[in-house]
This record gives sequence, C-alpha cells and structure tokens, in this order.
Amino acid sequence: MSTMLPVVNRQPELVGQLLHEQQQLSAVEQFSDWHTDHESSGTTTAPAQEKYYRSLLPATAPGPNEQFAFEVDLNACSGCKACVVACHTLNGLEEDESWRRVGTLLIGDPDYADAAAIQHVTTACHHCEDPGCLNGCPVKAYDKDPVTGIVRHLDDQCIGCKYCTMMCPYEVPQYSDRLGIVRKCDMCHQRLSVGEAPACVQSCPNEAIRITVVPTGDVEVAGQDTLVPSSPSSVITRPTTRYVAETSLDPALTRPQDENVDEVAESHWPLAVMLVATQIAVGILIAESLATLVLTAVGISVPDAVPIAAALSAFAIGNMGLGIAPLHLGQPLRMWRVFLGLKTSWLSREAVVLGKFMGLLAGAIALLLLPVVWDWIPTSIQQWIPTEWIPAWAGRALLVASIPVGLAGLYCSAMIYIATKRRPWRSGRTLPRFFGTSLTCGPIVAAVVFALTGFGVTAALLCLAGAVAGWWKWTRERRLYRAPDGSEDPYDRRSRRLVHQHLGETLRMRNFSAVVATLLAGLAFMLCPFLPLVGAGCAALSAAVWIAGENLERLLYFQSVVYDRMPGTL
Amino acid sequence: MSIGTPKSLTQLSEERRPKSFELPQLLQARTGKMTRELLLNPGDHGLGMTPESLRAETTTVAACGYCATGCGLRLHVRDGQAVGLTPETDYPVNLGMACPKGWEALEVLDADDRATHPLLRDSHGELKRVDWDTALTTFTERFKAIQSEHGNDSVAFLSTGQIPCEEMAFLGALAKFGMGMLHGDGNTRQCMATAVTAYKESFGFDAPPYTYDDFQQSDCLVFVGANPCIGHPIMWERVLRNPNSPEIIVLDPRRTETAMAATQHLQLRPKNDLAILYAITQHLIASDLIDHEFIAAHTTGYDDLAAHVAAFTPDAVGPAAGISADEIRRAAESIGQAKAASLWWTMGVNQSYEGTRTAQAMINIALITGNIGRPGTGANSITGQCNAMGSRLWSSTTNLFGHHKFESAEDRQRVADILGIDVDKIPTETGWSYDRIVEGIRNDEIKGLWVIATNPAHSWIDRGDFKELLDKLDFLVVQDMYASTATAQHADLVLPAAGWGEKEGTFINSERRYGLLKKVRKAPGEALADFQIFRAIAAYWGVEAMFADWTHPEAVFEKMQAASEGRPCDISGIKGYRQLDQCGGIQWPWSREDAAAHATPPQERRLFADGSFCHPDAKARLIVDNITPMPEPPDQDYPTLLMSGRGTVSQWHTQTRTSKSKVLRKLYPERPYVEIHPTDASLIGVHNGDMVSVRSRRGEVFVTAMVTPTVQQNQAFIPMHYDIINELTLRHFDPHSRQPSFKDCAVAIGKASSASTH
Repeated sequence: MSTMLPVVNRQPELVGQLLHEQQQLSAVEQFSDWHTDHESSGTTTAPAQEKYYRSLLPATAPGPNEQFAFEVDLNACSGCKACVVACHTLNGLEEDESWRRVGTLLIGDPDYADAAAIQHVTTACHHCEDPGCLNGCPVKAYDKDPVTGIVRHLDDQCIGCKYCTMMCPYEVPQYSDRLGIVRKCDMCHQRLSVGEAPACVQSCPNEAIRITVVPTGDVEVAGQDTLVPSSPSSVITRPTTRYVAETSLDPALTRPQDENVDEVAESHWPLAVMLVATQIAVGILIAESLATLVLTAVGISVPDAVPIAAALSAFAIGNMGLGIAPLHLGQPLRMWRVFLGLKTSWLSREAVVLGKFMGLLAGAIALLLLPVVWDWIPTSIQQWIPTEWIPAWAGRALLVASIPVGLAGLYCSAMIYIATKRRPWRSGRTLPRFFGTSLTCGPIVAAVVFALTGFGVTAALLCLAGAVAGWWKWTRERRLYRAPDGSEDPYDRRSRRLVHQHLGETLRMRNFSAVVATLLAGLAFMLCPFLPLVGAGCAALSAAVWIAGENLERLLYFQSVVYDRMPGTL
Repeated sequence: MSIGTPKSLTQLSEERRPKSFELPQLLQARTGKMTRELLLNPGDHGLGMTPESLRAETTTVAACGYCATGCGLRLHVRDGQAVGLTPETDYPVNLGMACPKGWEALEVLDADDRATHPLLRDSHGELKRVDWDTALTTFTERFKAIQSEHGNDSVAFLSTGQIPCEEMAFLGALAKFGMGMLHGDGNTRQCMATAVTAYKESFGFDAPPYTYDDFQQSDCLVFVGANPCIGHPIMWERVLRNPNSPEIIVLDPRRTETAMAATQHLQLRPKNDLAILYAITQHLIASDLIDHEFIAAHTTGYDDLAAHVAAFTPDAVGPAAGISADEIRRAAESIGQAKAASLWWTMGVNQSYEGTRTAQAMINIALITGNIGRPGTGANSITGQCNAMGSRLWSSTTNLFGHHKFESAEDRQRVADILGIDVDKIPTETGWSYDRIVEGIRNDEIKGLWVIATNPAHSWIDRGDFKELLDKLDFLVVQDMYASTATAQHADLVLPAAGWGEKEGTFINSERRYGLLKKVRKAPGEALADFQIFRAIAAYWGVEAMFADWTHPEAVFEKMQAASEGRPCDISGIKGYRQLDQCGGIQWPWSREDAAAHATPPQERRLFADGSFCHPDAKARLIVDNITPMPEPPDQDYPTLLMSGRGTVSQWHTQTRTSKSKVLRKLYPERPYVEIHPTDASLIGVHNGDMVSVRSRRGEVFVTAMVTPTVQQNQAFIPMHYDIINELTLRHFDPHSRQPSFKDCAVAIGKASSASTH
C-alpha cells in the first residue's frame, strides 16, 4: 500500500473539451435525417397515428337532432392517465393545465363478502345539451356548435368572471391567472374538423375513449340520474358523455376516493363585498322610507336632510361595492358586453338591474339635492333646468321607486348562486342571508341618520329592528355550523366539517362580530332617545361591526360551499 | 381547414347545415389573440394537427428513460433541440402510446433544481459551487487518500438502472479496473436481483425469454405480484390487444386494477405466493397436466420437484393462504389446459425474502407444462428500470462485463483481451452486494462512497439507519441530475450530470431490446453526461491510457458487441446505432450469423424455441426450497401487515424527476397516504382523508388515510414514492439475490391527534 501523496493528473483542457462536446447536438442531425428520408418515402399524408384511432371516430358529422359525445369504456380504462397528459401536450396548454382529469371510484359491499373493486373515471367537458356554463355566461363567451353540439369557449370574449366555474357542475372551465380568462375542452374541434381524433382519444393505450353520435332532446333525464355514482345529477345540464361498462356500478356500494375530502372553495372576496354593500344600500332606503312613512302617518314631519343623508349613504356604500366588484374580473375591459347574456344569465340580469338601481338612486339624489344646491348652480345652467316640470315630491318618488328595482337586483344576485344548484347555496340558505343583510344593516345605518337629525326614538327603534333581524339571521347561520343532529343534509355536514377544519378563524371572528354589533346596537337603542349624538356614534359603530361581520359571513358562504363532483383522488 | 371536405367531422354540406345566427365580432369576439394561442396547424412528418409549441422541423425517436417497457418517444426537433415529444407510432414496443411519465420526459429536464455546477462541501459544512477542475481534483485526492490509508476496497460505488449500458460499462471498468475498487452495486439490487438469480440458476443465464408479442398471443396469463395496469401500462396495452379472450390469473393481496381485469383473482394473504405456486404445481402433476416429453428432454430435477410439492396440496395450502383450494385447482387447470400459458412477475415477487424461489416456482410451472419458447408462453420477469437489463449485463457488478464471471480466469482473460487491459487489473472475486456495502459502512470497512444516479437516502430499506451511515463516511460523492435529492443533501461533493435526452447510449428493455437514446437537449450549466464525467475521472485518476479509445458511447457499444460474441446475449450482428434507430431497437441475441441470414432483424423474437438452455447440459434446472416464515409477522402490538409498491403511473421511484412536472404532480396525491380497509378504519374511528399515525418498531409517520376495500383487513399499503415508507420497513433480504424485502413489516395504525399532524 502506497504512502505517497495521491497523484492527480489534472487536465483542465480536457474538461473544457468535454464541456464543449456536451453542448453539441450533432446526434440529432445524424439520426433525424434518416427519419426525414424515411417519411418522404411514404405517400400518405394522413397522420401516422390514424391507423389506431380510425375505429374510434364516427364516419360523418352528426345529423339533425344529434350531436357528438365522448364515450368511455370503463372496463378498458386502467387508470394510466395518459389522456390527461396528452390533452395537455397536444393542445399546447399551460404547465399545469389539462382539460381531462381522472378520478377513482372504490367499490365494496358493506360486509365485504364480494370482491372489492376499483374503477378509474376519465372526465372532460361533457358538452351538455343544456350547458350551465353557456347559460350562466353574462357575455355569450360560450357557443354550442349547431352541427356537432360541441360547447366551445370564446377565449377573446371571456371577461374572466368565473361564473361558469360555478354553473358547470363538473368543474370543467378552469381559470388561468396568466390570461385572466377560463379555458376548457373543445373536444379538439380543430382536429375533428380535419377528421383527426381528439388528443385523449388518440392517446389512450386501451382505446377506452371514443367519439360517438348521440341523439339529443328526446331522452328523459331523471333527478337521480348521474354519469357515474357520486357525480352531479344529470338533470342540471344534461351531459352527453356516455360511460359504458359490462356491469353497471351500484351507487349504493360505490365511493369516490376523495370522499369526505373537501377543499376550501375560492373566497370571491370582491363579490362578497359587492353583495353586502348593495344589500345594505337597499336596506338603508327601505328603513328610511318606512320610518319616514310611519313618522309622517303620526303627523311628524321629516326634513329633507333625512332622505338626502340616507340616499347619499346608500349611494356611497352601493357604489363602493359595485366599484370593487370588477376586481373579480380577469378582463374588466371586456365587461361592457355584460348585457349580452340577459336572456339566460342571472349575472347579466344582476349587472343590468343593479345598474338601473344605482341610476335611479343617483337621479333621486339629484332631485332631492336640487333645492339645496340651487343657489350654487350657475344661472346659465339654471335656465336649462325645467323646474316647473319637477314637482316637489319627484325626488322622494324616485327614491321609493329605486327600492323595488334594488330588491329585484338583490334577487338577481341571490339567483346567481341559487341557479348553480349547489346545495349549500339553495334558496332557503341564500335568500335569508342576502335579504337579512339588508334588514340588519339598513335600519342601523338609517338609525345613525335619524339620530343625527334629532329623531332619537325613531333611531332607537331602528337599532332595535336591526339588532333583532341580525340576531335572527346569525342564529339561523349558526345552526349550520353547530354539531350535527343526525337527520340533516349531507352537504351541510360536509360544509360544516370544512368550516371547522379550515375556516375556524373566520367563523370565530364572524361570531364575535355578531355579538359585539348586537350589544352596540342595544346600547344605541338605550342611548338614542336621551343622547342622540352619542347614540348615533354607538349606532355607527354597531353598523361598522355588523358590516364587517356580514362580509365575514359572505366569505364563509363562498369558501364553505360543497357540491357533488366527478370522482376525484386523494 | 377546407369546409365540407369528406374528411371533416364538424361540417355538414351546405343544404343540411342548420341556420345559425352569429353576432358581429365587435359584440362577440370569436377570434383574437387568446383564441390564436390555441390554434393548431397541420403538422408535417405525419404528426397531425399540432400546436405551435410542438411544431417540428424534423423528428427523431429515442427510447424512454423511465421504466423497462422501453417505449419509443418521437422527439419534435426545432433548431436542433427537442421542443416536445409524442409517442412514436411505429415503434414495436408501444405502438404509438406512452404513459404520462413518457409524455412528460422532456419537461423534467427544465427543473430549477437541476445540478448545474459541481458542488463541494466547505469548511462550514455548506455545499458551494466549484469548477470541474477542483471537483475532479478533490474527487481523486480524497478517494486516493482513503484508498492509500484503508485499502483500495474501502471505496465503493452505488449505481443505477437509469443510465445507458455504455455508461454502466465505463463506470464498472473505471471503478474496478482503473481505480482498483472491489465493491460496487446498483439500485437494480432493489428491483431485479431476484429475477437475475432465479434465471441464472434455472436457465444458466440471466435470460428473460419473452417478447411483448407474448402478451398478445397467450391463452392464459398469470400475473404474480405484478400490477402492469399501474406499473407497466404500455405492457397492459398489449394484453388488451390479445384477441384470444385469454384467461387472466392474478395473485395479489390487493384488488389492484390488474386484479380487477383478471378472470381469476387469487387474493392471497401476503407472502403465501410460494406455497400457492407449489400447490398449483402439485395439482398440475396430480392432474397430469404436464408435458412429460419436455420435462425429460429439457429439464433436470423433476423427481425432486414432484417429491417436494407433494405435500403442498391445494387443500393444505388454501386456507392458510386465504383462498380456497378450488381457486388453486381452477388456476392450475387453466394453466395446464391452455395452449399457450405465460407467467409474469414483478416486484411482488422480486422484493421478497424468498423471492428467488418464488420466481423459480413460476419458472418450474412454465417448464413442466412445456410453456416456454413458443408464442404466448414463458416464465417472464417484467423488469423495473429502463436499463436494469443493461446493468445486469454490462455494469461489472454482479457479473463481469458481458455476463462473465470475475472468478473465472478464462473469462477475465477474455474481457481483458477485448478491452485491451492488463488482466491483473480485473478483480478475481465478485464485489459485495448493496446490503453488504451498507454493512461495510457501518463496520468502517467502507470509508468512501460514490453514488451515481440513485437516491438511497430515500429508497434504501430502513432508511432512518442508512442516513446516519452516510454521514459516517469520510467522503461521499453524489453524481446526479438534481442537486436536491435526499442523498445529495449528505454529499461532500456533488457532480452535475446530464439526463435522459442530453446524451447518447443504449438501454435494454424488458424483452431484451436495445433501444437508442438521443442527445436532443443541451445540458444545463456545466452538467456533463455521466459518460463524460467518467472520461474526466479516468484522466484525473491517471488511467486515461486504459480508456484511450472510450471516446464516445458508440465506441463502447462496439466493445460490448465484441464481449457478447458467442454468448447467449450476442449482439455482434448489430450494425451500429444507426441500425438500432432504423429497426425500432433490436433484441438480443442478434449475432453475426443471424445478421448474415436475415436482412433485418425480426421485431419480436423469444428465446429457447429449441428447448436448449444455457447450462452445460443444455437443460433447465427445476429448483425447489422450503417455505421461510415471515420474519416480522403482525402481532398484538403491531397488528397490521404493511405492504408497499407503486402508487400511480405518474410517479417514479423517489420522484426526483416525476415531481418536477406540474401536470404529473396533479395526477397523484401530493401527501403520503396509507390504504386501509374500511373495517380497520372504523375500529380506530378514522374516516377517509383523516390523518393517521403508522408505527413500526423502527419509526412512526403521519399520513392521510385512504379508506378502501381494495386492501384486506389487517393489511395496509403505502406507495414507495414517499420517503416516509422506509422509516418503517424492516431490513431483511432474499438470501440468494440479496434483494431487500420491502413488502412485509408489522405496523400499528392509529388516529393521529391533531397536534401531531402539523
């Protein structure tokens, strides 16, 4: 064994040569040449892959009352998920984007007497007969192809409102932060247009996915019909995909691999703020009008300052909400087309009706303020204002007229979510929340106005009304988040589990704010008749805490939504 | 896009087209920048409609670098570099298909944790960038110093099944003949050692006899410890193309995707496979469903076999194995009556403490029923890694270069002559196996370790112990594509390696097919192909003369051809890389004589058609042994038997590559999980998705519960891709192959308190 120092035969120039060689790509030239020659010897121009997928495509385009549909052979699908990656690659999608997903169903009878089973389910857009995405889209960024029935998304039309991601029961449209729009499967329409198979069809090693022609319109869909066990009811959108298997899957024995695993949903915070703000705006106007009506009925005259202050606060709050809402959009500059979807989209309707509401409110404010600001208006302008045509009650009339329009707008807001058919957003849960916000915060903000103008008792009663409404609303909400009573809705149970696992902090803050705001409203109730200014301050504080609490409530509403979905994986 | 052409499937002729109203572009933007982003164009080279990102000026095909299926991937080349890939339509292996890993093979080259420069641990214990000259000088000085102090055999290497044959050949020759090392082994010890040992003992040569066409030709396929639907989905593609409606028999403790597709699933209790195979053998003999003529002409040991299995009647074996005697009899009869029966195994057999004998029990069944050498037959090991087969022939670890023996003077002389080296440079004994090298570190016999393209700090059995051992070493070199692997974290020196797609060479797939790799990407930074690193080390070590003509991979391929000549693995007839490329790979053997007789090699060939095996008497050995008890059966404290294996198709080994693709990451659970039976789950009050603790005598981990009836009661399964699994596993080995037995240890599973899960 040698004891000499190790000998190192240093050769930096060799290293340089190796690094240089590493960067040479001559091998490609050497071999790809041959491939090019090899190809040019062939005479066919059809894609090489065609021999594998030819039998997986229909011979012609669909005829009348027919459309294309995916057909999945569940027995052939072995769960390799090549379709997912091929969709990603062959469509040139973003790094983590694919229009196909594969979930897993686990099948076993309760006493495990029979052999258990595992079934992978590949899913993409179902090119529904009655597409939720298309119906919900406020700007007609979806198009159902009249020949093929393919539901295509118009990327340059999309405003990125994500409403389609709520309206599609199958979570098909996916939002891209980079583009500010959603994108989705178009059944490789461009490939079909030249007779080629969609990416998923041509990449499945087991030929489990094919395109078929299906009849449209004449098939009855029942409420319990689903594409596969645990997936959303087919009644909602009439999906066209056919899942075929030798023996059908028994829903009673089948569970998705991601059962019981719900993710926190998107908060949609600009929407939460907008909803609460517009609801409060309408609430203020209702409270002020009713209070004024009662006061007038008992012979107490209410100065113009009251409706003006109420209208201005409603306008300020509502406008703030509607100003924040576009932050929710990926492409706000395309928003002007929002009226296009009026025929089918509650979002279009909400935008248009609430716009009208704000217009009426602005008009009412202008008319109410006209006598107040008259002296400041330059005479050159004054002469253009037809005062003789404007009766004294016009401002009040417009203000009252804005209320039903506002209520209609709030109804549209609620319908946006109710229309998704997500159980936690059902009307019984949504309408009380949305209108409850009006009934809670409206009176308390109005109370501030009345207190400041010296109507201490009215303010106190408004505080009381707001507090009662708020307390009622909060108790209703809490029922959802408390311990199960065993007989309740499974979606509520999942929703509650989600809240307690991941949203506990928000829930605690919500509860805390409700208690504090109610106490403050109670204090204001007691103070207003005697110390109207202190009472007003107290009511203002209560209103601020209520508003914050309502926003938290709305975040919970969005984030804790659970719904049926296509089978997923852990 | 021509409207109304017969080919179009989206247009109807003018008169049949429904009337539709379109809003003007101003109101409804049907085109624009974002729409154009997804525009497809007719692709040349038979590619069909292609997005801009995949547009190819030309294409070239390379064998995939993940598993041993060896699919052909068509690289889309633009400006000399591969920009994307699609599966090659005409490659004889995959017939135009690939699994997700293959589709994403290029994506993982762009990861930002690629090793781009050599890294050396400084005096503060941090890995710092150095130049190659410093790295190579340090490598040489430190290893030579250790060798001069502790002897040449105090430095060892741990290699891989993931690098091409030529690099394996270079590494083995450099380390053993050039640097004087005695011990070196591959991670192939963890996957294929059992199959190697079984074949060598039974056939006289490590020779998987089949070709993938056998999946399509068989009347009865028996899968033991194999889940090709998940492990080898492209092989499963071939099974589904079998036109014979074959009987498919699966032996697996879990209801896997493959078991689902079986006509007979023998859902045994784990580690009862050997007994069941013996019972099948017993029933075949008892029912006289055997090929006496073949047995007499081509095998030895039949009488011992018959005597040994006599006690293993289905009635004796079935109840203990968790299945009925009738199931065993039915399976045996299906095999015995099939015109062509084939038996296939993977890691369920290989990674077992009695795996060699289990594999041989399958070989025995094929032999006594004459199911070998004909289409649709064979006792067939499905290989794991892309080049585990190459490692077996060319790495000079368990065999001397080209399946020669270190112990044979004649073999050493032959190799020395072919390589043009002094015969005294070749060690006269086989080096230590992986587990012995690990023990060597523990016993201070191994002081320096060179790890190439493998990640033992994650993958080695009972890894908690192993990580401590790594830190015991005087000098640890890790040569890898990624500087972030669990093992690289312990390294004193990291050498940045080029990956698949950045270098040339050949892989041998599961059916003995040499496939070609292509250099279609520039390696990042100063990363070098392992081949180039070996050249540099040879120079710095001072043995460059010995490797003067090892200048490029194809030069080494020629040496391999010379060494193979006249042996069962003869490839002397292959006309260089170009012919490999033209033929869609070539299976061994392909001798000069074969090449003279045929213009081109037939694409699907199998071994032993003449019943002549590789033992001197040309007969196959029928080998039997006693059943070994499980070393750590479940008991009261640890009542659950923990198994491991592949999780999903999209995960590979320790995930150093597959975790780098965002789209692959979407296809498997991000967090580790354990599959447990619903009854077991309800006993401990656990629901699907809850956190549970899994505890063995060696460690405790916290994972998500996947409650599924596809595992049996008192059994559990954790995929191997999450490093936590080897906190739990029990260090034990097959005595013949020294392969670790990963799939049996006792654990206790309980509900995790919420505090322990964060």
